[in-house]
Amino acid sequence: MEHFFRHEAGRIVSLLTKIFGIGNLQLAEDVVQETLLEAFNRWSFGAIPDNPSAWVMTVAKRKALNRLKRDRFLERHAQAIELHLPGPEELEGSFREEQIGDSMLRMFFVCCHPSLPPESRLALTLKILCGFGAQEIASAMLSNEAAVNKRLLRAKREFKRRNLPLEIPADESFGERIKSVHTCIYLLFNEGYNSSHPDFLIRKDLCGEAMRLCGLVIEGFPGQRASLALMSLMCFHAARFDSRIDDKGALVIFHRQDRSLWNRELIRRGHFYLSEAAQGEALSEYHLEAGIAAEHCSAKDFGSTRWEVIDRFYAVLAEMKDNPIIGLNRAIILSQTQGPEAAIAMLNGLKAHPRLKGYYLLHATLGELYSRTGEKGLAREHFSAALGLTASKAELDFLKGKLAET
Amino acid sequence: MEDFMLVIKGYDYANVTPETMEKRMNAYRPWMEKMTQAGRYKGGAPLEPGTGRLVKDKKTVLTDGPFLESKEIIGGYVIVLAKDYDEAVEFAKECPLIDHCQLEVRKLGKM
Repeated sequence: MEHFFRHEAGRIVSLLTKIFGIGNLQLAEDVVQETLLEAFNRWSFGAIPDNPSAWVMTVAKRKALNRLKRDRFLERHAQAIELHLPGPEELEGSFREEQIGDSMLRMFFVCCHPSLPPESRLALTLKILCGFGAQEIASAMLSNEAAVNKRLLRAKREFKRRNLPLEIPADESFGERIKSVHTCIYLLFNEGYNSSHPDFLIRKDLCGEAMRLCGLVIEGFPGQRASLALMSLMCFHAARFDSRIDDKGALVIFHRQDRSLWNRELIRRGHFYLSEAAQGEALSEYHLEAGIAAEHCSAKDFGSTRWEVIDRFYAVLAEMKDNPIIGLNRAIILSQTQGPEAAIAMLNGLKAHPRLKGYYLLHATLGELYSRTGEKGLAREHFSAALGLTASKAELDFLKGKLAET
Repeated sequence: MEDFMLVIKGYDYANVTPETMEKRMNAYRPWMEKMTQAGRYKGGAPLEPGTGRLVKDKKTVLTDGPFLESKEIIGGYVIVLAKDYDEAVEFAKECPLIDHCQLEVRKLGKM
C-alpha cells in the first residue's frame, strides 16, 4: 500500500470536485482529509478492510452526502444560495470507480490552466492530485510552507473567481493546454531528478508522481505522441537514478557511472514508449530529448557513445527552442569528438548569455575542460566560480574535490 | 502482570498529511502486532478527532473547545500488560506513537 493515502486523496478530491464544482474545492479537500483521518485511526488500531480503496470511497461518499444535507438545510433557512449542488440520486451515480480516472484528468487540466503562474500549477498538482501537504510541497520545491500556502490559496481563489468548469477544453485551446500539462509533468520530474534536494526519497517520489500523472494522460489521450515521448524520456532518466549517487551520497559524474546499476526494465519501457511516440507525424522536444537519453542508455560504455547521433538531436532541438543550455550540452559533445579546445572556444562564445551567466554547470564544465588542456590557473578560476553558484552539498563536495586535485 | 494504560496525549490532528498518516500507521501496526504476539497488547482505540463535551457540573456543558492546552488533549489509549511501571514505561518508549505525542502511563485499578 505505498502512498495509498496520498493517492486516494488525489482520486477522491478530483471526483468530489467534479461533482461539487471547482468553487467547492476546499469542501472536497475537507471531506477527504476527514475521511483519511478516519481510515488512519481505524486501521492503525484495528483491521484493514480487504478493499481499502472501496472503503475510503464509501466513507467519503457518506460524508459528502451529509455535508450536502446540511448545506441544503442551511440553504432553506438562510437563503444564501451560494452552492449549486446536485441531488442525492445524481450524486450516487457520480461515485463510480470508472469516473475516477476521468475526474483526475479533468482536475489535472484545470491545475494547468494558463491563468496560473507555472509554479502554482506545479504546487496545485502536488497538492490536489498527488495529495502532498503544504509542508511537503515546500520541502520538495525548496520553498517554505507559508509561501506554498499563499500560492495555493491564491490559485484556489482564481478558480473560484473564474468559476472554471472541471472540463478538458475541446476547442483549439486543447493543444495549448496539453502542452501546459506536459510542461508541468516535465518540471515535476526535473524537480525530482535534477534538484539539489538533500532528501533522496522526496526526489524519487517526485519522479514517480510525474510518471504516474503521465500515465494518466496517456490513458486519457492515447493519440498524443508527445505524452508518449515524455514518458519515454522519464523512463530513460529514471533508469539511471540510482547510479548517480554513490553509497556515501556523493554525485557520480556521468562517465564514471556504473552502467550495471541502470534499471533494464525502465530502459526497456523507455524504448517501448519511444517507438510508440514515433508512430506519427508529431515531433516534440520530448521526442528529441528521449532520443538523446535513449542513445546514452543504449551505449555499452561511455567510450562507445554515438556522439554524432546525439549532436544531431541537439541541433534539431536548438532550432525548436532557444535555450543556451542546449549549446552547453553541444559543447560537451564537441569536447568528446574534437577535444577540449574546440569546446572551450564554443563556450566562450556562450558565456555572455544572460541565462548562463550565473549557471554553475557552465563554470564547472569550463573548469573540467581547462584541467584537460593543462591550464590549471583557469581551471581553478572556473571551479571557484562554480562553487559560489550552487548550494547543493553534493555539488559543493564535488567541486571542492575538483579544486583539491587541480 | 498488571494492566497499564498508555494515555495518548497531545495528538496533533490538524497538520497530519496523508503521507504522514501512512508513515505513522506503518510504524504503529508492526509494534502492535509484535506486542500482541508476545501477549502484552490488550487493546486500544483512538478518540474521534473534533470537539467533545465537557460536563463541568449539572448545569454547565461546554462544547466549544478546546478546553485544554493542545498538549493535554487526549487522542486515544492503549492497554498493555506489564510486570511493573518500569516495564510499562519501556513499552511506552518503544511505542512508535512516542515520536509524535506524549504517553501518560497509568496503572489500572484492581476491580
